[in-house]
Amino acid sequence: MKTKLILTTLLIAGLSTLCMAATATKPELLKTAWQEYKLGEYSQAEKLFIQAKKLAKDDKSYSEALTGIAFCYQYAKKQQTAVSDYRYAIKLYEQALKKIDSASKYRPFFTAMRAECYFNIYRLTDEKDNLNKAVKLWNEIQQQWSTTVASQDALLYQVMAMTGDDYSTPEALQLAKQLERYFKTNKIIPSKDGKKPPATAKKLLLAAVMSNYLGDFYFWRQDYKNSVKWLINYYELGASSYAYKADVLFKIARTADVKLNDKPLAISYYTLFQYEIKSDKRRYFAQQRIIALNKDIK
Amino acid sequence: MVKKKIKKEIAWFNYIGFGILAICYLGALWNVYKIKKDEIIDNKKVIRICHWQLELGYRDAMQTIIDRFEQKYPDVKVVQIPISEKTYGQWVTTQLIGRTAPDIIEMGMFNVKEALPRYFIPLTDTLRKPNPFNADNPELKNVPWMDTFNDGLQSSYVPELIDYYRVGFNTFTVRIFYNKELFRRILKTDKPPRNLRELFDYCERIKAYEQQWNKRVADYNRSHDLQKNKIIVTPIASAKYQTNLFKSRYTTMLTSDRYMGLDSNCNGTVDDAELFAGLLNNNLVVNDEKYRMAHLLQRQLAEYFPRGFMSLGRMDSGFSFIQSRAAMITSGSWDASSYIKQAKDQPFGDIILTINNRQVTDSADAVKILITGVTAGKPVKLTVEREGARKTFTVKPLNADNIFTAYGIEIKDFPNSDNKLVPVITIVDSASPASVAGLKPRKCFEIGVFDFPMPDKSNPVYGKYVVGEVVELASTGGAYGVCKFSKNRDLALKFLQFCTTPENNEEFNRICQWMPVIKGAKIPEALRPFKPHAEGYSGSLGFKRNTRTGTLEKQTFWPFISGAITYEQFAEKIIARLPDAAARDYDTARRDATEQIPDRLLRRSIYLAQVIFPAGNQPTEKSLNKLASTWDVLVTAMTAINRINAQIKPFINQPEESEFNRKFFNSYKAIKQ
Repeated sequence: MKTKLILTTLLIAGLSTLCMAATATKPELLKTAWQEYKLGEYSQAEKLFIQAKKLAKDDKSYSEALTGIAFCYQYAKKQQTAVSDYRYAIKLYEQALKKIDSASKYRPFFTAMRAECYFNIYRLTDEKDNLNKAVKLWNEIQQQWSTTVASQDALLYQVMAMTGDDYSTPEALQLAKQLERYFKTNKIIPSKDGKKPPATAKKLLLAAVMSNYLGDFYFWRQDYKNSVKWLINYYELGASSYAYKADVLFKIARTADVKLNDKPLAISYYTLFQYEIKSDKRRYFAQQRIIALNKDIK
Repeated sequence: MVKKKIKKEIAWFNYIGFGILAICYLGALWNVYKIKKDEIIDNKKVIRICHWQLELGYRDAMQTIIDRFEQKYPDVKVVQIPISEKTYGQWVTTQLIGRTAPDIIEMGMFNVKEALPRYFIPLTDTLRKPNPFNADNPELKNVPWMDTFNDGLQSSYVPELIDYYRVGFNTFTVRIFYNKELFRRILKTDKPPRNLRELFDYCERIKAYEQQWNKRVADYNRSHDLQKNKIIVTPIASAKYQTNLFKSRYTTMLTSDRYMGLDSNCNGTVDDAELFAGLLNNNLVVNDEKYRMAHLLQRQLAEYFPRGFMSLGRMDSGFSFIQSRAAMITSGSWDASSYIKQAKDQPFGDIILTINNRQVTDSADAVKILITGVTAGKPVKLTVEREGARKTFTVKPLNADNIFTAYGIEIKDFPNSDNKLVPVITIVDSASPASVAGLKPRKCFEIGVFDFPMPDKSNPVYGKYVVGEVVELASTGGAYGVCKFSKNRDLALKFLQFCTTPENNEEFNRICQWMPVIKGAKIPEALRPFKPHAEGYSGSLGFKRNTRTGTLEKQTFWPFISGAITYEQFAEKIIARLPDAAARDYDTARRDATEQIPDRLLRRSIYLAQVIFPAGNQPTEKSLNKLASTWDVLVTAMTAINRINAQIKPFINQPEESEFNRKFFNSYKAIKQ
């Protein structure tokens, strides 16, 4: 009798635990999965994402879980990511696209991820068909969802990935122009009346980064005037850290100083560098350049 | 009956082992009780902080701040865990893996970069808000915590992780320490040299002093059975460690402008590609005049280092300085309190109380009486105070009209512990009457500190090459992070905030004699010479970039600086081997440029997911900013190879432009085959 009582108690306890596990809330499961992903525990993360996918009852949870699984193949393996991993990730994204609504806000994201995977397959296999698929998807994103975060992310990725390791090619220039069109199309560069969209607009989210890229791109093509223009834009849209802000202010000043021989512009930005950057080993150098340039102007 | 007795003995014997086990177990319980008493019995919240700083004063400083914190929060106990430098890294790593690490951990001696995202909490959000303990400070109450640090905590930012993970308590600079007693004795001044010319002059005079002394000793020893000992007084105590400090400083002073001349991307620093481009376009050559002069300066300095300094360790040179066998030494402010204390703790020297039972008032009085003793030709009875005890010595002086020849001593007045001037024996010549009698000289000395003297513009050799002073960024060091597994994270953060108010940071550094990092915290008086100079230049000319060029530099620089080879031979060796070394490092730079990309893409995927799938309806501003920050880092990574190619490509098409180019590209071709 006593034995039976103990066994029954154990059974009930065991079943309760299982039930509790089964009804673990999806947000917690996904949160834990992303934590594991962030910590580099990808096998564990994948298991949790798979579990979350099975329990998902809405578009968001399902999409998120599927993304998590796909990321474990597309990114987690880093240099070891194989063609098959990218293909599997594409399959997952297509699965997501089939399930979600046609007007779902996740469509641009999944489209972008498919494009990125196709491009990487092309990079590994040289099969042009994959490149064409990638480009087609990227164009689709820009046409349909141009100012979403996913599309900005995709545009940046596309431009840098397709530019490759050589800034000097005509193709690289074309891609840079594509990036510039983003500013014109979305009126991020001030129009003649000097009005800029508010800083909190999501379409500005990666605009600063784009400007930074363009500044670097034109610099190495020796188009210093354009380079400075985009670096100023980067500064005005907001560098993401103090270190990057210091770098861009100094770079604008020095480029104006040594490449453009534009003394007033150089003085202006060396001064701004002095004012905004309180702790930097280049400060004294900037101060001395201001003195020297002012002397030259006089 | 016998069997019963044996059985009884065996039974007792068995209990001995059990008894030992029981004692050990009780001992272990007691230890656990001691550690856990605060938490379990007194119900206090306990936070633990570990570090490897066993230097003089640091633990006391930490304990003082801990005591203050516990006074403010009586329900909190802070336990300091100092661990030896030798085992710190292993210990912390084991604790982190086992999830038993202390709440606050000093960052260093272990793989910090890898450990940060796994084991430590980011502090960015808290750092962007004011430090609550500055609420009563009108200047800092509304200032974000990070901006209360002198460097804005920029040295703690981890761009790959787009977060701050550490706060520090101290900063450090490097200076030259000098022995004021030796300066007074040899140079007749205790003022430091004002410029490089004066430094070399001082060094020459110190060298001459040693030579003259030892010549006198050699002459004496030729005609005496009782031999005198030679002295060692090196101008500058040095080992490889100190040599590198001099190298860094003086190379920057002379070549910073040439360094900036290589800055082809206009960002104020020279990276790998810019260096290689400089080599390929002949903008950087081994026989660069400034590079040569910087090296000759260092070579000249090295003539004042001890013989065989290359094989000495850092501790050896420090010891030599403390023992007054060297007049100067360079090191950082981290060594200041150790040196000052060790110099002070050396023997005070025999204080002369009476001579032939006659009270002595001061050194002049003592000399007068002792010379009278010589005239009388009789042994002299000296009563001295030595480390608090009175001792009497009988000295048989030689026939001479000066105290040094007659007795072998020198006497000077020094303040004692009551600040009263007393006559102290400062020199006891070996094999002299005083030495035979057993008198002991003063060994303790006052330390002075000065900055690296610059060549002034009128310096005939180096003057025209000087660019200027070297900038010193007051970077925050001695940094601590909060462990992810801490059960009292908020409390741990609170403690760090408490430590970094101007008052507490000042007090902390006053006790350990290091330099504070918080705005408004005063530098301890003795460390004023270490105050960083914010105005100056940075960057120095050199060929070292990575493993191969680094090895080449080591293999050529040290024989040159030690005098084994001339500068011309040094330059020849570099010219011969640099193209191949540079080509290999260039190959490494290219590989490194692309290898970091997958890791950056992975980081971006984390924040992209946070923005696309936010916890609430909309992504938070934090996650949006993180995504933008990740992209800034990613753009830098993805375009690194582009920048390398943009700079090197023009030379690929002209490989025969120079001898260097030809060899460089031939080596590179061979590597790629």
